[in-house]
Amino acid sequence: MSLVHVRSAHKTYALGDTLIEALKGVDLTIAEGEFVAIWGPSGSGKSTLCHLIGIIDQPTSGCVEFDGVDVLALSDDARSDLRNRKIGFVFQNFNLVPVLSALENVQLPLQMQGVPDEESRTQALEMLTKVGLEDHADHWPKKLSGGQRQRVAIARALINRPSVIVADEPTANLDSENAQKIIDLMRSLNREFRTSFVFSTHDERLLASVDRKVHLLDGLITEDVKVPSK
Amino acid sequence: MNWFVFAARNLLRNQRRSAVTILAAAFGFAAVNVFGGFTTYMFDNLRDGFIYAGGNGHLQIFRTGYKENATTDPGKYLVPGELYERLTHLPETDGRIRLVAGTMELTGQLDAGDRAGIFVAKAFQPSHRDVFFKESKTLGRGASFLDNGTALSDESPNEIGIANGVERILGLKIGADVALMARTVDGQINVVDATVRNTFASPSSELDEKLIVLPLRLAQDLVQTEGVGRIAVLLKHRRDIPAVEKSLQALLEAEGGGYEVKRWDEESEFYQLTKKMFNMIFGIVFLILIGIVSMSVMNTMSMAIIERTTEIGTLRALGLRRAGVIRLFAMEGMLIGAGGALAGMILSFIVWLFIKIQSPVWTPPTIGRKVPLEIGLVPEYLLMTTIFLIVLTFAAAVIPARRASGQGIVEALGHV
Repeated sequence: MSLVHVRSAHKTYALGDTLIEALKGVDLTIAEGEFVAIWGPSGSGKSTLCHLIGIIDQPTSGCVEFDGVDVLALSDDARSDLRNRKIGFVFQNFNLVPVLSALENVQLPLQMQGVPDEESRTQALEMLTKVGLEDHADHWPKKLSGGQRQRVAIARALINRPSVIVADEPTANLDSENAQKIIDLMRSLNREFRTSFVFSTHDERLLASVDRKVHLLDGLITEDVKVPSK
Repeated sequence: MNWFVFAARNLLRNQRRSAVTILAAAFGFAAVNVFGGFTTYMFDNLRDGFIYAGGNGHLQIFRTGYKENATTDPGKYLVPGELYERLTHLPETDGRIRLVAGTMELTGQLDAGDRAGIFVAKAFQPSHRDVFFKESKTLGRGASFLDNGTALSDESPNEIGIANGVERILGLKIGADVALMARTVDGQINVVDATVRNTFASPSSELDEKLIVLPLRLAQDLVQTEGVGRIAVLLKHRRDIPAVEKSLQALLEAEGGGYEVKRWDEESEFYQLTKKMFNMIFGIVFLILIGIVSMSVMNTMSMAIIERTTEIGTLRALGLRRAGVIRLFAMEGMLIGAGGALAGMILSFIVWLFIKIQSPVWTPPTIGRKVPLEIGLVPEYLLMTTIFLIVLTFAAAVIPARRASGQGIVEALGHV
């Protein structure tokens, strides 16, 4: 069943007096439980497409539907609530809050919903256990390695049991071994929770375990292939 | 972990900057409260000076037209002695009234043998004057204001007090005999003998070479009347002023009217003008401090927002509403305000303690002698300043936070 539907999406940025067309009419559908890689070289529009799927940006023209709802018709608060409950984010730079412990970072999306502290702590600890960091719950982000930080970010993205997790270049700041481990972790969580994962990468080596590869070049999808499951 | 703890930890990210902002708020808080405490103390002293040291009481009774015509036709505008006598018994029937005291103001010539000078006199019954001094809460707490000699007494009706300037220009000593000459109520010239019993500091330099005080009986003998110029009504509590004022008005109306009852604050123009002036200065100081504190908090919050732009983008991406971002920064602002109020209270207390220990003295206007300088810690001021500071820092944080919450998420995430 279709979860996210991007239709004829164009996205144009103004860079000084110059207009940069990041997306030139993209159509893409993400189904429930899919593990999708958006890949391509730098400047191909991967991040922009991830931003549209994650509803943190809007297309210049075209539309984005989430669960059949046109997100452009929603208010800013409604989009915030939708992101909080249905979408998880994993960032290239991890983006953990430095004054919160690993556990508190994972609690954050639940805290935004007003879930009681005790309940959110239990759930966050459970999620940290899933990513293998239960022993690091009280650690500050600066005390964690890059790989560990990204695991905390994945736990944070999953804490609300979202329909989709959008990961924009989640391995860009990791060495190849840790990069593969993060992809493997995401893949296993995708299978366990049936949560859709959409991640962008320019590293072809990380595409081995995906269900589907979407290749972007100069703002256009040049290839969209399903990979037979192994 | 809750948002409050989150906000507190955010303030600790840049401890020096937060500390400086809190200190700025604390200094502002302390400045307002110390200055407010000083003005309160001063207003209390001015009020006390008028009611007690000046012997004017909380309410004054005089005949309509007395103030305008007392010098040209004093006899016509005096309160008759028979009415004054009856009014002096009011404290026996009205528990709110402490004392009813007649006073008289007159001018004349003081003859000291080889020298003579004009005098301006205030006359009162010495035992009444003692009651006024003893009731005073701020001016030396009942101490006499004399520089030399002893207080006048009802038992020695021909003894007078003279201001230091009169003593100096007429070369008078304690115990010197003088003659007081003035016009009687019938327009004749009359003379009475008197003895100098004490000298005192005049409340104003203009009066220093003219002012004398004398027993009411002696003044009445001099102008040959049983009446009094004004009647000062001293109450036990200031809160009873409006009610007693009405009672007296009704009572005097029953006597046929033609009298005025005035509250102390209506009669003390100096108090009103001084209060207005200090309230204006206080307002200006307050506005300056509001500006400094709010600019300081806005600057701190703006810096924090710039430094945490990516984090704001992350929180928004995770689903925090714009209002949530504003709430977070507003909490940080309020914490600065609360911290500033707490530190300001401590600072105000230190200043208060320092002045208490040092006990500096000063000479307030209308009193004419040195009194201890005090600064009151006024609970109402402390509470109001605390609330105001928290609201101010809240508002100062909300302004940049609103701007921050409105920026695009992608733009914020890409901020370097």
